[in-house]
Amino acid sequence: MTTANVTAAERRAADDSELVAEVKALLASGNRVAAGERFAELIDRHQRRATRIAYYYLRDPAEVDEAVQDAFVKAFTHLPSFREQLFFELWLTRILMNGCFDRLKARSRRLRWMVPADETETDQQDWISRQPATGLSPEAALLEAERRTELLAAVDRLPERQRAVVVLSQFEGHATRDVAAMLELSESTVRVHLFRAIRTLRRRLAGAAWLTPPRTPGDGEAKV
Amino acid sequence: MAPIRRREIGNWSFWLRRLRASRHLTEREIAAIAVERDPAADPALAAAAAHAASCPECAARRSETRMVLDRLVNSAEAAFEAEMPPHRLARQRRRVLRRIEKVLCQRPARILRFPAVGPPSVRHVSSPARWFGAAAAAGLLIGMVLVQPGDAPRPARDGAPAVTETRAATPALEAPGGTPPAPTADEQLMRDLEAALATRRVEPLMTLDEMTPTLRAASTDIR
Repeated sequence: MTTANVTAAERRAADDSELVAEVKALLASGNRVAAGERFAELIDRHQRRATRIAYYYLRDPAEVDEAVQDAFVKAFTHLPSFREQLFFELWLTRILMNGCFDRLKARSRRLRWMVPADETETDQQDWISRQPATGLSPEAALLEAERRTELLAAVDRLPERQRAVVVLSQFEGHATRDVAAMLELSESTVRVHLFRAIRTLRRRLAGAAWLTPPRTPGDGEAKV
Repeated sequence: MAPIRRREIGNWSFWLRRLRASRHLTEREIAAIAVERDPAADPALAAAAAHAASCPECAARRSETRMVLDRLVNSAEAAFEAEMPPHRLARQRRRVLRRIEKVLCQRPARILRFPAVGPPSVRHVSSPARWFGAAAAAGLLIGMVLVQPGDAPRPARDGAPAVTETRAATPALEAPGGTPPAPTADEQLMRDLEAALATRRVEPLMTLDEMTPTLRAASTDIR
């Protein structure tokens, strides 16, 4: 993360802390309606980021909605016990990710008893019609979607921790220190998880010729 | 690479450094410099970043790793934008606020006393009932102490009236000279058996009985 990003992140964190202190004071004084209104500002600040994280985990819009709602409601109800030494963003992310982990576990239990339905051509047409216009032909859009699915499926198959590290550090651009705080791991452990995840992803996507340009003859083999 | 000076020839750490600088980066190092936005600023990665800057092969590997990661990030972003459009986020926000409103409208919970219908304690039992219970317990205790187990009449197995040990012993003492004793249940049973064996109908069965090995004989054979 660059210096400009760090400064922006620190400024955001300071603004969050002020707002959280205000909401806590309002709740303590019994002014619950005003507290709710001020908390809505925190929702506006973090909703998109929280939804993105939940989406990268769950990939099911309905479940994402529920997970994000649960995280915000839980954060609001537990706000009086929130320690201000922590950043609100990290705390909220931790609540959200724990919720996502629980949902993933519940889903895997459910899927054990379900038979997957085959995707039909109509489903694919429906999917294409839902996509925002990009100027691509339907075939190109479908091909792009398949590639995207292949990429994200490779991330989905990563172990839980590695996936969390990839989502937070690469997709969300958090520094290793912040990722370590969110996942309650040491920084070196986060680095190890990230390295293993990248190695696995490269191995899984090695056959995807469209992903990487052809190597020149002088290039050597990757070393471990 | 810089030329080797005379005094560095015997310095093993120099050779180690030189060896490290001459080899290609490991996959771990490539990954480390690929994910960091500014690896040269990190002292732990500075050497690897410097090597990648001068080695085209390692630079290619780093950019390849970075390309995979960038492609992943772009795909994830595109999938998110497609599945979670702004109107969906707006609806999600409204739902969050509605749920928070519901939380705010909740009154503090009123504690209901659980009805006390458990077993009555000794303190609540009336005085006459307490005396009655104590008397029953004392009677039971006295009965258990006074009545010895040997004194109790033993019931017969077949439901016949109980025969005490004194009654069983009496005929043996009186047999030589007195009146013949009344037959006991065991004697009656033996008599009935003898009578049954004497009848003709049982005789064919006797042969069959002799052919059947008894438990005693079987156990002797095994031994």
